[in-house]
Parts: sequence; structure tokens; C-alpha cells
Amino acid sequence: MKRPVADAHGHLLFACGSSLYGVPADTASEVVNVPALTRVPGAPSHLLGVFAHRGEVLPVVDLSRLTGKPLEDTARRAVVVRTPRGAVALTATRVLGVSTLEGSFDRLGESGVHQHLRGPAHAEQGEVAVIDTQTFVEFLASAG
Amino acid sequence: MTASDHISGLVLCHAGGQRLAIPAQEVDAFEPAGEAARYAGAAFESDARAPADAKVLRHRELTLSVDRVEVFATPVPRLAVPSALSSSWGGALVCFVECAGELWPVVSLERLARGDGEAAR
Repeated sequence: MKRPVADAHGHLLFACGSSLYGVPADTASEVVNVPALTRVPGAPSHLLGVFAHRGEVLPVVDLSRLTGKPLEDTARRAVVVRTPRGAVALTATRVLGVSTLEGSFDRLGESGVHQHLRGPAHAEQGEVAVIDTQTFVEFLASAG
Repeated sequence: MTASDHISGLVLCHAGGQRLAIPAQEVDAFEPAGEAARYAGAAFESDARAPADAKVLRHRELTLSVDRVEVFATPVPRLAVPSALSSSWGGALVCFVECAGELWPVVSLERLARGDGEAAR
């Protein structure tokens, strides 16, 4: 039986370390090079800092720290995701482009960030955790 | 752009290699360094310690120590706090500003004093 296609509009795939993530393509605004960041007092460790970008302040979130798989070197690029609740820049070691996905889209966990990851979905490049960007940004606001 | 879109009168503070700005009208007094004052650098790095010549800012019963300060009087546009940071330091983060080519988080001593239990975490 053919596995269901997740989203006809596709997901932007990127790697953070050895893990692959996808965000709905219509929430992925742009890919940026991460500049020098300003640290924020009292921010959790997964919030590396902020930078000013086109008149707004963007927080940079390290997915590897959120998922408990910290990278040895800081990622130099980030995927900017925009939702009605706000925008965040997610660190990426590689950006792989837009793909359609197949597979499971169940929650990958019941607590922490894993509640906001879906999958495992499958792309040509490998197994992907899909970020539910709407709930993920809400989660960051509550965890900050 | 309205006047409320700008903020003027900031105390620019350096603490432990990091920086934050405080609205000048919230600083009741500058005091000599004292052990009772919370070190602002600890909000960035938990093991940060105030230097011997730290400067202390007082707002009501709250005291906050930093490494050095400078006053910045020029009005600058406020940049909104992203939602992902809305709870930072107990909600004391009120906006960001760009001064002299750098981005500064603006922290309200009033909010810090009100939410002292939360901000201490």
C-alpha cells in the first residue's frame, strides 16, 4: 500500500548536525548566515542570541541543544521560520531544499520539544523530523 | 513613527562581557559595589562574578551590579521583543535598541523588582 504524502506543498529540509528536520515550506521565510549574536539575559541555553534583521529582532534557536544532541561547532546558517505567533531562526549545518515527504506524522515524544516534532517522515535524503512550527514557536515562548 | 516608538535616556551596562540597557528613569541611584547586589552578568552565565569595582544600580529595594556604565541620551527606535523571548528574565526584557552599531536588550528594573522570584531563576 502506498504511504500517504504528507503535504503537497512540501517542506524545507535542513540538517542540524546528524539530524534532519523539515518545516512547512510556506512558513520558511529565508535562509540566512548567522551573524555575531547579542546574548539575552536569562535566556535558556538553546537560545543562542538575537540579531537585528530588516528592522526586527530574530532569536536564533539551536535545535541540537533542544533535542539533547549539542553540536561541537556552532552552525553558521539558519532557517527563518515565520508563524502568526512570531519568527525564529533555526540553526542549520546544511540546507537541503524543498521536498515532499511521506511516512508517519505522529508526535515524536510526549514532553519538551519532542511534542512539537512529527514523524518519522521520509525524504530522499533520509529520515526527517517535521517541526510543527505553530506549536513550536508557542513552546519557545513558554520555555524562554 | 510616534514618540512611543522611540526610547530615550538609557544606561548602557556591560556585565561579564555581555551588555544590557536600562531606562535611565528607573535608576534611582548609583551606589558603590556591595555583596548584596545581584550581578547582571549572572543572568548570562551562572558562574559569573561581579568585579571588585562593580557599579551598582538601585531601583527601590532592587540592586543590580554591572562592570561599567555609560549614559546614552539620544532617542532610538524600539525593536519589539520576539515572542520566543517574552519570558526571559522573568519578563523584564522590554525591547531592544540599536546603539552605536550594536543591539542592546533593554531591561526594566521595575519589572525585575516585581518579578524578583521568577527572575532569580
